[in-house]
Amino acid sequence: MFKARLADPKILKYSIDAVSNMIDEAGVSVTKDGLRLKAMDPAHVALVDLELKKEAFDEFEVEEPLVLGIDLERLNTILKRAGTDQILIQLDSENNVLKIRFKNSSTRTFDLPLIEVSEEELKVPNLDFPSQIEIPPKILSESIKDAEIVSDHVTLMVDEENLFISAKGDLGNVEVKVPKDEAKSFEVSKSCRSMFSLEYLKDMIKASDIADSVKIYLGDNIPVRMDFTTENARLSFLLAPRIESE
Amino acid sequence: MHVDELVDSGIPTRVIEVLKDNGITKLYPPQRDAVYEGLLDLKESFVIAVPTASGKTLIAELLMVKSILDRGGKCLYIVPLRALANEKLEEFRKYEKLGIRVAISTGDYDSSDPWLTNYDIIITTSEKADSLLRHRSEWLGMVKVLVADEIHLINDAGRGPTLEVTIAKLRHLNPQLIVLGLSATIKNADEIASWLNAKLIKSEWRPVTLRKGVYFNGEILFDDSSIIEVEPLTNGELFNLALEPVKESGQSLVFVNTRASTERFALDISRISKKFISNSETKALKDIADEALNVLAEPTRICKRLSKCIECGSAFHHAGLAAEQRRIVEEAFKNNLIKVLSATPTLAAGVNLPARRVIIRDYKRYEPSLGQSHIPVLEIHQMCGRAGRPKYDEYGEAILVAKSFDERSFLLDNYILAEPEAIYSKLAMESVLRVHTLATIVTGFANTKQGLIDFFSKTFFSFQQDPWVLEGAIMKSLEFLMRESLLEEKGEYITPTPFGSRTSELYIDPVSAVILRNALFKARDRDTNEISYLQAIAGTPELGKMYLRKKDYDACLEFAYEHENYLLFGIPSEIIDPWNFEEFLSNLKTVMFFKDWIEEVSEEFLLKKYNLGPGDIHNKVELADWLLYSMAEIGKLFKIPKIREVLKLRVRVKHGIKEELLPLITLRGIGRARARRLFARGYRTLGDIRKADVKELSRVEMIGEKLAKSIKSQLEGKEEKVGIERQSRLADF
Repeated sequence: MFKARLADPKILKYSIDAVSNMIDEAGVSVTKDGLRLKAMDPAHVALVDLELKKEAFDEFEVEEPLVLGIDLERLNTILKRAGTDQILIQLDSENNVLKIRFKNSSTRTFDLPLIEVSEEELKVPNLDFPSQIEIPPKILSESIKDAEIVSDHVTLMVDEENLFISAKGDLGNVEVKVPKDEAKSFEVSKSCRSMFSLEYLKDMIKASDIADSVKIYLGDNIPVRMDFTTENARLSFLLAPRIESE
Repeated sequence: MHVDELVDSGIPTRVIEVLKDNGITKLYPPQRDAVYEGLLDLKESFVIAVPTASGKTLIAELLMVKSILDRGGKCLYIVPLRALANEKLEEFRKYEKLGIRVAISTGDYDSSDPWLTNYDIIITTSEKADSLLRHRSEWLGMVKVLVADEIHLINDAGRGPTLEVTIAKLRHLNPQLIVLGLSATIKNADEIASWLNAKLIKSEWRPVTLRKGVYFNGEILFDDSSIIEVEPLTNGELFNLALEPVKESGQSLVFVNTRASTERFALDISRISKKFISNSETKALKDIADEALNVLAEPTRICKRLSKCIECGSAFHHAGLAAEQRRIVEEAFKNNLIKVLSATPTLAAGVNLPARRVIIRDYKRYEPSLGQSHIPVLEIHQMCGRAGRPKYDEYGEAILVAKSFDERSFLLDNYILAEPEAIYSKLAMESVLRVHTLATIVTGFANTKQGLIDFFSKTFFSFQQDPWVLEGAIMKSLEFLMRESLLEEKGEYITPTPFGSRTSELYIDPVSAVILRNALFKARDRDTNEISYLQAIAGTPELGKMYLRKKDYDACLEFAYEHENYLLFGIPSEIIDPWNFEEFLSNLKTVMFFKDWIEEVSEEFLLKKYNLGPGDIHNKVELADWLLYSMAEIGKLFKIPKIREVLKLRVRVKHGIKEELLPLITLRGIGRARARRLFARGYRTLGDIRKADVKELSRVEMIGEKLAKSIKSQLEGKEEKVGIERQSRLADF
């Protein structure tokens, strides 16, 4: 038995939207603490770790821990129809579907068939990040959108004073400078830089709209970790860089 | 009047020497009149209304040279067609030895051309002048003389308003500005003169005597009542008429009303005209015919037809020809190699191609909103004015063709003996005014409603017609511009939004800007491909509608269903919204055309399928290129990430290529045909080409040794950027 209710669907909608472009299907673990989704994209470039604590829900009931195989693409299309309706989620284990209900003046019910997912062990690299910077998510998402105008990849760079987000393209260059003072926290042990594909970043920043802050873990030509957090939820990404070949 | 007498009007002798070096020793009567009336005192504006070829340009030259030498500053010379700018440049070059610098500014509408600061005479079109005003080019403040060539084109619904507003703005900018309006002989030239506060010189004088007449049933009735018979060389009446001067080493220019007619006539007469060419001419014509055949990578049917005609001493000239072909035809006609040239009436407004005899076969033509209608007298007279080559012909003949006795009297009374119509400003149309209202606010010529009304009160329209009409249209335009957030109201002030400013600078219709913006917003959150963006530009007024034939309906609709997922604007209901449905399909026809073009469909096939000429493809591509550029610029403004797709499409449209050719097309000298051949031979990236040597490359079809060498040298030292970085995987760490 699993049942949950969300008065405000925003947090679920946005986090699934951020994830579903990268990851087609995933196993979602449900425990008494909440929901957790951890998966890697098929190209093994990005890792997603989404945690929705049970406090994020208005109601949350589960008898025993279970894993739900979910087609994220389909879930996302369904959630897009939610508007601002209240959402009820209920497992119908007999038919192996997840019933998703939108409740407003009318009640709309969608059946999302559950799928088989292979439970392979995720190889998460063990990394030491020389820099950790926490900034308002809006700054990050705007810079990524600026970068998209000129290029398909972006360079993240930090020195003792600033975080730089820059992109170069045939149409010109973009550089966004975020000074130390603008950051919520700024721990930089050495200057470093890495380059990343915007293809992935542009999906990741969709989480900006619901997060209170984003913490960026950066090193030299190593993956970047970005943690978008709010009181009861955390969406964390690990993204492999573009590196110079040869 | 001898040119030496110009000294008395303050023209330095070194200028007179330049004139003499170029064979000018005497001034024509209208030129003399202008000088006597005080043109060179640099105190007053002038309007010169005289026939074609009676020396208007020299009047402008004297004025400009005098002004530059006496008091510095710049002169702006506005030509009606881009093609004429070069002709003028060549003529004005003779003054370069006096230290006068001449430049052309046409083309790119998104630039203020600051380099022009260094020039004295700047030749431009009214559109480019308007765009320079919008970019606030600083040197415009230094313009002291403005020459408006063919100022009677204010009458033209399409381009007249821009000319009129540009003149008004330049006068506003510099109240001391001297304007020289050069006009055809029109009924109300005095009105133009009073609007400009200018002296009027009006004359019917021509350097070559012009006889006008009507042909009917084997004879020509001239305006002096004399009648002459036309020798029946063949059994075609028009052929006899056209070949008569050819017999006496003259030429004929035949105006007909459609492009197809020009081709048919030239082909028909080519069978006979070839009898009139000499042996030496045969050789020269053969070379020219080959040149005309091969201006495109692959000759089309029209190229073949043209080439065939030229070989026989005839040719046709219309807007569907490639620019290079038009140039070839014009030159061969000027050199008296082509004996008979058939053309659409647009030729009369443009290039200077005089012939001893001008024949006007059609005095009616199809107008989109009116059906068959009579061509205005002014235009017929312009065509007639092409008769008689100064220095070569003693007289010129302009002949209309009647099909009945009654028609002969009709043509005589209503065209030959009639006075040209008065001209009227066409400014008070909303479609025109929204463009100029926006530009006027953006460039700061006005910043309130009253200011706008005051500004437009300086136009010819307000001078000539009821200003209330204009005011209504201005207010309607304002409503539109504010509703669509191009302008905003702040108290009593009206200010442009960044979107409005950019639209004005990009020189596109505000309606187009709105369409492009809306399309971009739709595109932001969904899957798009080239169809999506092509549909957006196809809906703009600039690109115009392609005529939807009955059989196109199904093809367009099928195309719509096939690509429905990518259409930014959905299929309207045929029953509820028939008007939009038709418009939608007609836009899709344009989309289909560009889709075919970027799928590398052959030009020959495109011309046939869409019923176009080679020049039309060029024009459409040029417009689409600009609209896609504008779309990307608007995208930048609104931070819409899709613009890279738009810019990629822009390159594909510009060259007519599939995406896979994008790397190859960056090489100079490589167009769609050559890039495709390289690709077919396995040279798919610049890296592939880098590996090949000159010898291997020159073996590819259409790539000679010279081009192969150039390609190799272009690649030298140019590091290949593609693929330097690669995407790593998490497992690498």
